[in-house]
Amino acid sequence: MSYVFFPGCSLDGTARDFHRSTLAVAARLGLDLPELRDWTCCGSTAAHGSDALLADALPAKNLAAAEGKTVAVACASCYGRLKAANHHIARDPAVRARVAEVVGGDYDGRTPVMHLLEILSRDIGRARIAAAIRRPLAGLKVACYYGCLLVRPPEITRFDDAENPTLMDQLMEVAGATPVDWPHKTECCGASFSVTDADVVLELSNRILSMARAAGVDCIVTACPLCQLNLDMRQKDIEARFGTRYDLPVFYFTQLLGLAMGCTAGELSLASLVVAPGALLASKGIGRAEASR
Amino acid sequence: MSAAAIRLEKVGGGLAREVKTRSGASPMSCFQCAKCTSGCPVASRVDVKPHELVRLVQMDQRRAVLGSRSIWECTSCQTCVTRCPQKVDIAAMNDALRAMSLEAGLATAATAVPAFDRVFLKAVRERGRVHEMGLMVEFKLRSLSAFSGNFSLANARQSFMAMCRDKAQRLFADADKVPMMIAKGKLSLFGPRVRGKAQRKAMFRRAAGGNP
Repeated sequence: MSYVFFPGCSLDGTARDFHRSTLAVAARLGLDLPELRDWTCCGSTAAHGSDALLADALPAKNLAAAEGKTVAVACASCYGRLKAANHHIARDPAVRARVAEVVGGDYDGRTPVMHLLEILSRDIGRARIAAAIRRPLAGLKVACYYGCLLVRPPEITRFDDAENPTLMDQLMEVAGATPVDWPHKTECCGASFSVTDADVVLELSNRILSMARAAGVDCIVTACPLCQLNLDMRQKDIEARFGTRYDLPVFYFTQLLGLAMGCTAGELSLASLVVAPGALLASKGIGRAEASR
Repeated sequence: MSAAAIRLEKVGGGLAREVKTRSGASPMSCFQCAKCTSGCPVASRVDVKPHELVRLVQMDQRRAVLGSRSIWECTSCQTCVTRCPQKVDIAAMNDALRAMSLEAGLATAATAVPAFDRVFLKAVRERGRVHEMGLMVEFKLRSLSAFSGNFSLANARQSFMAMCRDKAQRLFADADKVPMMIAKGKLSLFGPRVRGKAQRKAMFRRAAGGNP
């Protein structure tokens, strides 16, 4: 299977660590992820929240440029938008015609879109990943947090079970970590309200952090730049608002997978995490000295 | 819509029909089980809960719906439609209601979402990609110039002071995070630009012409 990689805006900004760790893990697995040339923003929440036609046209422009290759996506929001556009365009000839007018060319809505978690689980497979593990994450209890946009709406994303997804849990198991069963895997973190009304994020993300702590985990694992940012960068604000202390590192799944594959802290940009993971990793004997900052 | 869903679309007023046309959502199928509200992450903070909002749409209560805070505080998490036994797509309905609220001039002053959406889409049009740092700065400046809050002549001074406080708070909220984010490599000062600005602008123009 050959892929083109659609990083999306966050992976070139606040989620550069997700970008770097994705490419590091892909290299270890021999997975080729060439970047889609001249890709443009998927429109994200701002487009679908205000302009239905543009919300389908912006993804269509990118998906048409993939020339039939599978589009690999890391950002959950881009993934949701690309999948939704495909769904609307492939199902409704009227939408397809209007999008064609806007984009200036017909697109059939059939370019396959896969999230990295799907590619690792379905295309690469457990055996190949297990073979690349060098330093299993023994003794690390993790809460796999999927958020909204990978799993919902299930008719469109067809990602995994919408109420209890397990793709990330399975990967973490292969990496030697211990994923826990917990009820907030797909609760909303508040997403882009981080900019427009941070209060919403403080309340919603607090519920997730609080449940993760109740589940007795060492850290949270995410697959979405907005989820990671809200749980990590706003963790101090949340602690101050609710008078509590979490100190829970919030990783991208590619960072933990990379650690298990023997990548260095630098290759995985662990220094970009706001809640520093050094002490936790050192206490578990993970990632040797270079990760302990 | 699933085959099992009960179809009630024949009845209902203009608002429900308009929502259906613009978003594909079927508010008339709702039988008020409130499962949406049970799972809604913002149900405890919004003025109108999701099942109530659908009911108001069914009852054609245009002003109450389009003027609500609820439509702007929806995080689009889509838990409601995922769990709805009738597959009423409340998230899509809210997308349509937001656009209709702006068109009718009924959008609540309490929301910064329209300003954010405009700044975001402008960045996409001009640059092709969103540069988070630039976006934050422009959004802050824009949302400051927009008038907000209740202003009355009777207590003009207090209103003015409250407005200034509110704006200062909003301007400096999160400013403390900027140096840390630059140090962590999460923000860069200069954003990317993608080729094809003229084509993008033409695309945005055509999209604006083609909307209902």
